Amino acid sequence: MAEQEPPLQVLSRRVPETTDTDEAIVVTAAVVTVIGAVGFVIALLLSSPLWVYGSLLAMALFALATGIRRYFAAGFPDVEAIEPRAQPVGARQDQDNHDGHDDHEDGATAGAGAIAEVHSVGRRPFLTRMLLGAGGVFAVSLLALVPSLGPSPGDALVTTRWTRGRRLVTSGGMPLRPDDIVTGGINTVWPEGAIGDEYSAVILVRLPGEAPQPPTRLEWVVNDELIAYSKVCTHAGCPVGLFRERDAALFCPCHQSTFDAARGAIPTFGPTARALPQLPMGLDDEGYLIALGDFQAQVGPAFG
Amino acid sequence: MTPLFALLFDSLDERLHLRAPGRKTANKVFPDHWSFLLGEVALFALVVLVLTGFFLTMFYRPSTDPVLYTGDSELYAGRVLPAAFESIVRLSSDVTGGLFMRRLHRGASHLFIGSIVLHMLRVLLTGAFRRPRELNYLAGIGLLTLAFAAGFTGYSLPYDQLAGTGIRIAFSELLSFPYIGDQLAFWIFGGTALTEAAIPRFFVFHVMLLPAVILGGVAVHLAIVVRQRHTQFPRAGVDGHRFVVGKPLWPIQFAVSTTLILWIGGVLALSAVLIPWSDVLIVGPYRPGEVGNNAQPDWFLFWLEGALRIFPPIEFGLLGFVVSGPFVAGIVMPGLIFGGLAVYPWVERHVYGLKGDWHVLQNPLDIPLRAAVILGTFSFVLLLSMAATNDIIAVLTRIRIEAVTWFFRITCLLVPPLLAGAIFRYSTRRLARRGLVVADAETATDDRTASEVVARQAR
Amino acid sequence: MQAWAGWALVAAVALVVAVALQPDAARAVVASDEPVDEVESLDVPREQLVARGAAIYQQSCAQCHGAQGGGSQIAPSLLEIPSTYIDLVLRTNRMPPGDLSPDTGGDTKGDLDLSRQDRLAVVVFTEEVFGLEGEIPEVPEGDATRGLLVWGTHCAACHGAAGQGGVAGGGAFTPRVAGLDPVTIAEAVRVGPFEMPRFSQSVLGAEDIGHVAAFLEYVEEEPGSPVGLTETNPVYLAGLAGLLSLVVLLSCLWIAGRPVRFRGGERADAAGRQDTTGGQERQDG
Repeated sequence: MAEQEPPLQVLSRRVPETTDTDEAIVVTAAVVTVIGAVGFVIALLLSSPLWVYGSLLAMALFALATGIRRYFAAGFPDVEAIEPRAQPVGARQDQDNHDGHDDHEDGATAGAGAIAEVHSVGRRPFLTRMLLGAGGVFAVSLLALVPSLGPSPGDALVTTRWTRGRRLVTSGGMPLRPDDIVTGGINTVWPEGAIGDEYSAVILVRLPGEAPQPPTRLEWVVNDELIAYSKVCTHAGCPVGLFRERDAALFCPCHQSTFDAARGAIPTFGPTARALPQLPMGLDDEGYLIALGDFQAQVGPAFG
Repeated sequence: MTPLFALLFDSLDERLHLRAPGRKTANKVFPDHWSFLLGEVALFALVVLVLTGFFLTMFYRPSTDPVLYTGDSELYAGRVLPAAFESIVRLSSDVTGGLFMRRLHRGASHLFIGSIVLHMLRVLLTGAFRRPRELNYLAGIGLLTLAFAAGFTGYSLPYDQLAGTGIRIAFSELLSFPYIGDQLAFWIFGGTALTEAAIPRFFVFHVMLLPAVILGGVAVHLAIVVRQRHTQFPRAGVDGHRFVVGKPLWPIQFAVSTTLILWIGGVLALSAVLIPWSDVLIVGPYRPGEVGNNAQPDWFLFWLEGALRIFPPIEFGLLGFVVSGPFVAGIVMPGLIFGGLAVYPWVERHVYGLKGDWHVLQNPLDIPLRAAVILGTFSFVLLLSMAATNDIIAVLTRIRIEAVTWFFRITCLLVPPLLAGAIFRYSTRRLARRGLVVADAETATDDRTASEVVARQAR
Repeated sequence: MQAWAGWALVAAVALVVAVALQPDAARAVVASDEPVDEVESLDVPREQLVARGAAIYQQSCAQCHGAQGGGSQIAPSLLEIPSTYIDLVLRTNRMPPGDLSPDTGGDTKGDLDLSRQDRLAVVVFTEEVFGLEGEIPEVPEGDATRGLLVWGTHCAACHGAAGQGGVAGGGAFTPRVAGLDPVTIAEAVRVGPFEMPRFSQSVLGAEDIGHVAAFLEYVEEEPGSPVGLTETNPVYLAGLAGLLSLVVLLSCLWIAGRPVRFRGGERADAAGRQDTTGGQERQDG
């Protein structure tokens, strides 16, 4: 079912004379828009002062406005048309007040089914493309604000708050001596001063019977039975909170990754592919458990 | 019309000229089938979500700063809690109607996503995605994805222990993205303190961005349906390709819709009485380094959770980035499923050489490929969803969790292709038995005009 | 079809209510109904207790754990454990087990159900004859608010946020502990029975255990919704959401399947009389 809309009732039509100046202005405007947009991106990423990138953005906007206006003013006939109001039958309608210009003189004809009835004077694909390109660059340049949403990761995922000499403390802030954990016992510990730092969570285990074996780093084991592993599961980051005494297994409740605590926390079941990093651990002069340095393997899930 | 109503209507009509468009709307024909109401249920659920959401947003505090709770809840008396969780405790315990609103909101979210899934299933099974409706179908898939995102960000807002676990896993999922995963995660979550910064972000997503996009998408979705007119089931004596047959908006369709909406509203309210949707008080606030056993996301994410659980352990380098289990199970696999569903209309069109427009719905068993793809995909998703409950299954059956996981590893790989193949064969044989082939064009079954149809019915 | 759908809807609602009224599926070993006891002194001479304990041991324990407590192929030795452990497994009926499979993977409840005196008799017997040592712990009153804090840090990962239990892998299951009395909890924490790790005084002091007990009592006593549902896990909620969807489906079937009937049975058009004069003729309502 074809929908026939009545044609535009034209009152007057003024065809502009397109000059080289007009073309030059449009092209310049497009170029300035791109300069402003790209400048905005660069200034923002270089952390320039506000007045720098703000002005560049304003410049791009002004230029785009100028270009678009000149493109239409110099390239399209200025048409004045009328349209009846939805009045009941009886109201007079002004018809045929136009000055007799023929559509065909202006170049393009309205094809059957075309939407636009007022067409540009002559074809100017180059200018059209310039403006569309400038507009596109401008729109994309606004994405320069995305990096402001968050910091660069840097080494936030690679280093933790564990340093040499940092004491292991409980969630309540209490430092621990080896005797505080009984055989077959576990505790969640943090670096002193960084309780609650997610990637620094450590689970301290006192093996119930078996002596630790390689690939456990035996020099990081205290009294041949106290071992500390990162508590952040290497699969998807959940805390590995369960410990099975019978087979000294650390078990993550989220996706059931299982690690052998007596053998360097290598995975024995589940979707994880990497062992839990072992915390280098020793004792300080007062007999408290301390870290001997940061983890030497990637903590938590893989990335990059 | 009562005199007063007529007076009001006339004064509006003098200004807005409503009669003609009003009549056109009132006479609009809606094809009549119960399965077409599922979209309306989804729309109703969305309205409930927005309205209850207004109420909830007035009380919720999108921050994790410590705040002292001074309300009535026994369990949290005098405790310092993260502000988001504290506002939820206050809303649930100290605000009249607060807990009810929270339950309505959460229950409506289950209703929203559930009815969208059922609606999508109906569209897929009956072929309402065929040309010229492919665009609307894509809009629908987009809306489903947005609904998932809204649901996830929404239940993360209370910042309880279970929600925090989910946020942490989402962060790790983003990390697994090739090359830019860590930067992407930091941009979306706002930094390293992956859960502290996440709450204000999720608040903006859940309360501003996603509702705006969803409402816009729904408007587009409905506008296209109005423009293209609804599909309909075949009906003897009526050429569905040329005519829409059904009930006019006024009064029948209006009566049916209104009844349905009020009834479903009642069901939702009753469910909020009987079922503690989203009561998180016992679970407690999220604290770093802590997790509770039996941790699952909401049901619509079970398929992703199950994939994460049963996926075999892999982690290797490829072209300079790390391919890990979470990447394949959580990004590649859902991408393939959604991508596959999205291109399916064109696949079906190409495979069967379909021509022209389609406005009449089909029996899925008449199109072997469709039956196979739908059954295969949905059985896969269903099995994955069941795999997410593997620990509950283990507890209930006392079978070791390792065995349960292996069971799902095997069935998720074997069962969907077997089922797809079986129904493909059945469907092909069924067509052959009836001497039919898959129709490649919607031919006119009847070349009468509308008035001839009416005349013939009236006889 | 409409009538069928209507009845199916009623049946679905009845099913929802029936399911919702079911008790928790993962029922675990529950302590016998005894009042919380302190370190007691019974008015029974020790030799009598030992004799009674010996008799019970020979009857119920010796066939697996050996007459001298040295264990066998299917049960471990009892000679190196604290006597608190014996008290714990007897007061929770964990031992002797309901089914005698050697796999410790279930917390199958036995039905020995010893009285307090008999249980203490067995404990005293093991102390005398096997040389075990230990004491029944005292637990102070606690505060559920602080209990939730302690629970989240040390216990929730194994026993679940609401003490409902779960899996620990390798065939091990953590039992449901909501509703256990404080002494049982304290004994379990110190002894670390079966797969459970042990927590020393410095990690979990007596006050902390009191807080945990208060929290678990709070969880157990929470009334929940009118059908008794509390804080359900997402999996159970998924089932309930599925039931909700089913009710919605049947509602659509029922509501759309029934015709809207007009009085008088005429097939009148719904807007009343035809309005052909462009709005000038008013209808009386």
